Amino acid sequence: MDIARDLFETLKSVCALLHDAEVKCCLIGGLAVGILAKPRATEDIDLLILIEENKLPSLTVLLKKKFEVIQERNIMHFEKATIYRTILGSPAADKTGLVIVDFILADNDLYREAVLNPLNLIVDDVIIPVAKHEYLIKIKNLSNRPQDLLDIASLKEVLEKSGI
Amino acid sequence: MSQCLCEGVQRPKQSHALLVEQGVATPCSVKIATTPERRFAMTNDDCDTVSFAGMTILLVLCSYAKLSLHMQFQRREHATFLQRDVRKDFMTLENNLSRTLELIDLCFRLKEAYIRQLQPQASPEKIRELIYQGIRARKEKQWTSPEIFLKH
Repeated sequence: MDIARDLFETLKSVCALLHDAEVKCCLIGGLAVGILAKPRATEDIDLLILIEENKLPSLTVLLKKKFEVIQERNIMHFEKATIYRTILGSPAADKTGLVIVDFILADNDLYREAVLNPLNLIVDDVIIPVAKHEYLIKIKNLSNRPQDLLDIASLKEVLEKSGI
Repeated sequence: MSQCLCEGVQRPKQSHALLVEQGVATPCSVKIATTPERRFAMTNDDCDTVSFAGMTILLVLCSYAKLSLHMQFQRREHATFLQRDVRKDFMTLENNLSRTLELIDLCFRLKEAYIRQLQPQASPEKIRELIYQGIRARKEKQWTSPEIFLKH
């Protein structure tokens, strides 16, 4: 089993799909923190996505072009975020794994700004947009869970070291 | 300072001499040698220098050109430096991504080993299933926890 490979391949495929469909997105959550600050483990992919809630069915259609959509939960409305959660079959050749991808709708100014100003990391010819440190810190501040506080500390440490 | 054959004829000597010295004009002798028939009948056209006012403009332009070259060079150096910095930054991000993936890989390999130790009779497929069940269960718990609803 190779969960890291599944996560990575899924991330690349989803980013490529969204890029081709001209849907703006950027990586937030554990993977983004792992990339921008201290590498850390995580089990899922969190993507901020610039799409209207009523267009989410078309996102599912898009995902089904490349993935087996094992589960598509109803949209979850929280006070500070609207999240569309999916469980996707791994795009790897053996297709045995599954990957949880949370799509967080960029429905407020902070999220929109983060999606529109990402750091574009190019890996294996795929553009992976990652939310910039400053946005990630603000987004993490909204959630403010213990893990978020640790993430904020490591992001701030990187910012201080780089003198930004 | 080069000798100027037009001195005292059309141009103030100092102006031409200065330009010759700065390499922006050739001495009259050089030009006149190419037109020997006009050697003793020089006009403004024969002298390859410029008027005093023209010289000032030329000198100012030269200064600007020099400054501009200097600035361009500096900017280019700066840009190269920035490019190098950006490249270095992106290499760091790529390294972080690799290390993050390695870390995730390591965590799940250890979990696999742990489950195998707990259930030595379990097949690799069963272990894989248990691990995925764990991931989904943790997510479900997160989503249904009242704390998440308060925090998000």
